Amino acid sequence: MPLKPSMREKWRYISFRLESEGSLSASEAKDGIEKGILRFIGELGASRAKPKVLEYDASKMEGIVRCENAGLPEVRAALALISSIANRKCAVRTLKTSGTIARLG
Amino acid sequence: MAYHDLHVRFRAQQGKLAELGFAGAAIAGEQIEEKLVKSAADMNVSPSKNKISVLSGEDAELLRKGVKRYDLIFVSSFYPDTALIREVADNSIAFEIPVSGLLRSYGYSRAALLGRMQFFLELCVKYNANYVFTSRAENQFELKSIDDFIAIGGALGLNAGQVKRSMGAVAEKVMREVK
Repeated sequence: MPLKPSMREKWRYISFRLESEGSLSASEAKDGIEKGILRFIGELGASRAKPKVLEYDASKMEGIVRCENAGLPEVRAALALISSIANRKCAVRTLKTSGTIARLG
Repeated sequence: MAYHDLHVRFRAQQGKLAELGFAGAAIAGEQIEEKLVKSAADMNVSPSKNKISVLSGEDAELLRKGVKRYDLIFVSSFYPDTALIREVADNSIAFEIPVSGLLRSYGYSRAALLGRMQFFLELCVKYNANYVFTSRAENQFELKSIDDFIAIGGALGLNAGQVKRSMGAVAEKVMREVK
């Protein structure tokens, strides 16, 4: 029996822009952001928020993080507190939060 | 409402501040002056009149003596001294709450700092003491947008309105009194 729509996960998509001292590869950026979120919210928090970097465009230095609605405040705070990735100073600027990827455009 | 970052430690570009949602920032040494107190002898120096003056230190007892002369008080240890918090509330000045400490620490030290800040702010709310969030940014990566401050404020147990008021109305009041 399929899950009721009301019982499905309610995802929120956060678009962000990365500012860093030097250039970062897509894998470095994705890894750094996921580690930064996990470091702040912890394993228990991550099990609730289920954060994931869905995509990252290294040329534009922009990407999208997905998380559950319940964990959105913690994930946003975690993104704001990321100060370095791969030993380079950086800042994650959140641009927009939406319930669908299409509306982030 | 216009928002202000009242303590930035480098010459931030106006365009960058506007992009982050701020009308302006107070640059250390130019618009804002910090006095660090470690002993009673440090309290003899008077704060300058045309700059925002911050009295900072770990000893809440010493900081209490400067409440009437300074515009902002920064308790670096976030020691929850209720007498100091009440006096700040009675004198209508504000506490400076910098987020740079959270940015520059991680692991257990960040968790401990977060806990101390949460309890300190809880007491500020309880006793109606004003507080101003500042970045104390030393480079452009440490500058935070107003939305980032709201997110960090949420982690500290405050709602969006409380954070906006601290960087809007309270910051403007501090600047107005200096002028």
